[in-house]
Amino acid sequence: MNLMIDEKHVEILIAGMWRKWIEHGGAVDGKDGGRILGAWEVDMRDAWGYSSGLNFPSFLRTERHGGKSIICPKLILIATSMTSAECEIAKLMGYADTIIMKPLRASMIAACLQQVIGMGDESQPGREGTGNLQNLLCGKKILVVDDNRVNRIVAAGALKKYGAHVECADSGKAAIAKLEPPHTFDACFMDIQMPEMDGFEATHNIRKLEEIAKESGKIWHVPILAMPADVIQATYDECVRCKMDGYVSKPFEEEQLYKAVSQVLSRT
Amino acid sequence: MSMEVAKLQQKFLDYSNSLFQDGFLDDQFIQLHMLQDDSNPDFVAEVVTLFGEDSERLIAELSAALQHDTIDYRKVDAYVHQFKGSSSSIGAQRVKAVCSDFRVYADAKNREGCLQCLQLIKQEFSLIKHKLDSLLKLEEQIIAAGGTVPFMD
Repeated sequence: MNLMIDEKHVEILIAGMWRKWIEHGGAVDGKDGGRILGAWEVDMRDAWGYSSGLNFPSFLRTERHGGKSIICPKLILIATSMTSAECEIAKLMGYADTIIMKPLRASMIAACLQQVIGMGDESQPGREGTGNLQNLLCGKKILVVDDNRVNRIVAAGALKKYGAHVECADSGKAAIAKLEPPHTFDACFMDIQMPEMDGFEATHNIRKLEEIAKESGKIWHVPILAMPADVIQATYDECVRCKMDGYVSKPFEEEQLYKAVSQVLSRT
Repeated sequence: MSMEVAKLQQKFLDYSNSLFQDGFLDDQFIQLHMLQDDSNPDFVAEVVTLFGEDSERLIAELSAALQHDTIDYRKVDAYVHQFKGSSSSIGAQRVKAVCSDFRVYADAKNREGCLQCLQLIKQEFSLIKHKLDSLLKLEEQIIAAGGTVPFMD
């Protein structure tokens, strides 16, 4: 199966059971200077047996090449859902290149391939941002707080595009309930202007709860990014004062989103 | 590719281009389409529907708020802020522009200005609602005829 990307042919061998793209289940030989990609589906719920996708990189090395180190083709892991910890393990197992969340989207595959193969239009810096946002947000659990439901849905949609798991809250009060330690959120996008309790006050209250939780011995600090409708200096100062970690104006623009997120979330 | 699909696609492109050129829609509307895919095939239609519902509610609230002898401008501003937010998220550029003016008048506690903006917002919302419905209908027709919706520029 061939895929045209930026006028270059890239041969993709897809191994494993995958709805529409079934090639063969076997090892992948690198050829054409390592242009071949191997994509292996993994079900994290299976026992980590020999046939599990996680073991594929080492399988490739030992079975086909007698344990010799080889120039491995680029490996992309495809998964239904993964936690940050699982992403770390996948990296250790050899999927150092990238991870895509299912269901697969054509735009994500294209962006991912461009990043991994190193092709793509150099004059479009935003393209690189897409691949990097994928790495930053994939598998992360994000809370979106906004009293406006159109804004909520659009913000959630934009974050899901990069593989994040998104939950929503429609008020400062609801946000505090979700972010009181202990919780499993990796970050929060918080609208500023909301009735009853604005984003600053909500953040302030969350930080107070985190202080209290510290007494039990664990440090809690969920990254909170403000989503101001207008980015003005007063808002920025308030963000800093209320111990927010940054801001990104809405609707999200890719490069701005990447800049803000990269400062508070590390690559998985 | 059938003639019918090609014709519909051209109609769609012409119509959507005119909406961008006349300033009804901005780039954010295209961004919304980027968030739609096989796992989320009705995303744009959903957002448009919600925008329609929220806008109608806000217009009703604003009309009520501006009818009192003593207007609560803080409340008016809050409603307009909501309206500006959702129109911004969907890419409804002209509605968003009226909201900006509206906020200035509300800030200045200018009754006449606010009432004018309310009229304008009703007009602009009615226009964009009609145009979005037409555009989405064209998309449906293209897909029903077995084609794909062409990428807007």
